[in-house]
Amino acid sequence: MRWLFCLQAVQLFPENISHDLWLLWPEIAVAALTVVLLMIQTALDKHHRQWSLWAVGVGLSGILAALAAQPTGETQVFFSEMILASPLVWQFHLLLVSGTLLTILLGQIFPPKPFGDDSKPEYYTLLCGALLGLLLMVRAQNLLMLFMALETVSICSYGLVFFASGKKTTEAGVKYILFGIFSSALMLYGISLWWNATGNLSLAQVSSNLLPVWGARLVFLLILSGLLFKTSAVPFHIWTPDVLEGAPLPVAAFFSVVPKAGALAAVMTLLTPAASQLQVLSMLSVLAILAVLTLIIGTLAAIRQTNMRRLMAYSAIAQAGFILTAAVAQAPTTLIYYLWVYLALNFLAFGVMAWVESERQSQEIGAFAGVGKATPTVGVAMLVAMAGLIGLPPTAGFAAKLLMFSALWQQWQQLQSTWLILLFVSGLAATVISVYFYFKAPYQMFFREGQLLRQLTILQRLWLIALSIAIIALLVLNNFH
Amino acid sequence: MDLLVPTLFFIVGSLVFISITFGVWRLLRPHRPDANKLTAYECGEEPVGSAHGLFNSRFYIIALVFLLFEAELLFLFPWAVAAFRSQAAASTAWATFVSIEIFLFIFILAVGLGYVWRKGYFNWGKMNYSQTLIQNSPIPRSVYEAFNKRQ
Repeated sequence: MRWLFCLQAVQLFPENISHDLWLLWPEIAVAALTVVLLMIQTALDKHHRQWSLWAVGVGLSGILAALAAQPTGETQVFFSEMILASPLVWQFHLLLVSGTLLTILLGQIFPPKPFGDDSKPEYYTLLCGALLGLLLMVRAQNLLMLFMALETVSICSYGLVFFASGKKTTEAGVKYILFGIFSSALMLYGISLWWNATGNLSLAQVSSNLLPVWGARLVFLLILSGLLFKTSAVPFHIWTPDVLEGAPLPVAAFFSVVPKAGALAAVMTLLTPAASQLQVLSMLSVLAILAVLTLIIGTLAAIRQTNMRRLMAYSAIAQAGFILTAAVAQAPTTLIYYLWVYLALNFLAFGVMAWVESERQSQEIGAFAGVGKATPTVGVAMLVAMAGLIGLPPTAGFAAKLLMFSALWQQWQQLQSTWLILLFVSGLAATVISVYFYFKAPYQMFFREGQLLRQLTILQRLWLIALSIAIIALLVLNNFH
Repeated sequence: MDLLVPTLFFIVGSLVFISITFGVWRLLRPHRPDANKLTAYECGEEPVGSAHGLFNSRFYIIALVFLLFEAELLFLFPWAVAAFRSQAAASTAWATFVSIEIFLFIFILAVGLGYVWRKGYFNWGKMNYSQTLIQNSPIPRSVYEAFNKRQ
């Protein structure tokens, strides 16, 4: 009679449909934007690139402005306990929409040829589709909803990788699809085990406690695997270097930050009911071990890289370890702050990389030679980005790491687990080691010679200066408590 | 007994539906069979011979578009079952909502179909697989032709 549980979910009709729909407006707006973009591309033949660009720019800016104008005050679960609205969700939404807007701007200001081409307007459609999935992912309160949102992001992401051309891209795309399908399948298996044990897919209310501890841990790990794939955490990190190397540069920048934010929000949601299923400690220790492995593998692999894109990919893996640490510390405010800082840092670094790639026609770190001396704006911007990624004081990266380590320390004082101390120590060690590889590119820029052919355009200069200032300013803007 | 009546209705209904379709076809179509037309049609392949033959990879786009509408149909069934249950139909707001919603759903899929159509993915140009394959081969073409004849 288990199938009756399914029907029960269908029978729970939302009582106040207009109220529920109103709470869902960001998703509806993004979905409408996606359809409008597709219609533009169907209706117009020649000039649709320009029209698509305008539509996506105006649409996303409008959605961002409307989001910023109406902060969500109260926490409530709606649509038959499928979806959550809360101040935290609102903050994640701001972050995700800003990240997507920055991706589009990055592609416009630094045209991504010759290592990729976003000139096809379908690029914007897929980006908006991925955003739609991410917006739903951060507020899913039901495992089926979570899986649907995750798949929406995945399917759009598979398409986005292929907007570059060449052998590298094909390899990256195929790896990404295979790993994606594999981790999705694991997640689905975990969800089915969960349902079998509890007869309920809702995360808002977990009634029964039918699983043995080891079983609950297994289920938790399986469900987590789909999210770890999006976070590029060990053991689902293998796609990251290839995809960041082969995908068009704005897409690589997008993948290194934005899906991570969505996945981490989902991990935080998952922690709450999982905590009632098994002891908090045993579940957090699973996450802590994964975070330690991610930190170690990301940092050590980054040391030997000579390709800047691959270096940033391993950096993205190491940063995923730090972001997971914030989840282990169960500090959502710190997580949001860290993600904002990481977003600004990464988009600044990728801007510099885009400029150097189109200038030198190469992704190698050696291609950065002399750039800093010839164009100080670029050099200083890269210095700020790399110092921020390490976590050095004049940048907000320092505040982000400080807040995160102190949150972890507090969590340790509460739980007294050895794993948390191990995570703390490996986080510090990874930070120290990362000084070496993050300063590789600035070293080339200032201490090697090289000629430049082109000057920065005004918009490019503006992008670098604005993000650099934002990174310094975020240091002041954080709330230390 | 309750289950048997709908099942019987379903069986009879499907028989009637199939006979009507075949009847309409018979009335409309010209009847000129030839040897090619009478071969079994499956994935565009001749149903005899080696399974390692070349096949037209453009079938996969058709398959994708087919899946799109297959999924649409799959969602329409639970919608039809769940949307108008007694307790829900009582609320006018709900009934209006589900009706509008399903048309939006079909509209979005139609936009997808329009896109694929406009981009020309349904146009089948002429293809020449065997020619290009043989161009790179050191074996003269006549050998292939002789081999094909012998098959």
